[in-house]
Amino acid sequence: MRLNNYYIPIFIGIFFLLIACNNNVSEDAVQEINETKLTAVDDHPNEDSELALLMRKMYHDADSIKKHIVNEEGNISQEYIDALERIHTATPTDADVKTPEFSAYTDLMINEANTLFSNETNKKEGFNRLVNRCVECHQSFCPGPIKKINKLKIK
Amino acid sequence: MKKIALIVSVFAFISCQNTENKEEAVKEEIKEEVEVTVTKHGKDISEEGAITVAEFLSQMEGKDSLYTKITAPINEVCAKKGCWMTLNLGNDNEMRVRFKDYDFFVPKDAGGKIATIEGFAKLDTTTVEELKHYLEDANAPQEEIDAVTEPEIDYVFEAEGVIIKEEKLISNETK
Repeated sequence: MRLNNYYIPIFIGIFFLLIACNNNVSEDAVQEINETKLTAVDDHPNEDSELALLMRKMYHDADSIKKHIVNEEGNISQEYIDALERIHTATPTDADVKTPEFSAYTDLMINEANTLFSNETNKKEGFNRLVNRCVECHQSFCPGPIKKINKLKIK
Repeated sequence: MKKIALIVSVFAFISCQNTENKEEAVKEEIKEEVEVTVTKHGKDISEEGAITVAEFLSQMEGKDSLYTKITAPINEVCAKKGCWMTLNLGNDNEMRVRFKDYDFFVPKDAGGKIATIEGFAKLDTTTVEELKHYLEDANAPQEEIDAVTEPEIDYVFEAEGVIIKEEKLISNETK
């Protein structure tokens, strides 16, 4: 009984001690949230226009056509020519590019693509002429991807 | 003995409360810590081994090109697509950064943030047409675009990978 008289206050003290110390631990946990680094990986973080997305797809498709021609396994497709036609109507990043000059460059590309489509010989030269038409248009409106487009040329 | 045990317990409790007060003080400091937001674009690179602008300028001396990794503040980003940016080289000089093979872009609102870039730096000529196009991309006034009549020979950079870092001070009000 006498022993309990000594221990009760000690237990009460330990109880308060634990409550106080537990409060500190929970606050530390909240502080760690502030140190979190947020990481995101994104190669196209801005909203792309309809024309930009179309161009990106056409580049990849042109790379496939190049491989077909190099390996003598095929040629440009009607589907690709249809995609070229859509350049006329696709919404661009910069509305100012839709000029008569832009339409004329697009028509030149479509003509070159049709020539390549109907030509069973000199496909390599025809393909390179088509790539040159793309470069000419980009020189006037968006020179950024010219270096990449030139890599499409068949050597 | 009973009194002694009670006094010890009370002191333990008070001392723990004091610790809590100290923690509160620490907490106030931590509340003002910097929150770092990082985005990566292109090849996955790290910040490790990146050199400063001063080191870059020193290493480029007498060279035509250099494969390097550099950390510098971003001055400006292409306002239309984020397809190029300029880095601040100090003393009113800047270096234009393009992204390898046009395969990736950076956020259009990255101006003022810190970039780490890895790739090839070289001394190159930017034609009048290119300079005008960059000004159009940056939504510059027509008079400024028309004023470009000479090509520029300057450092340009073709980045394979980019890290963009934003450091934001977290104030007590924002919590």
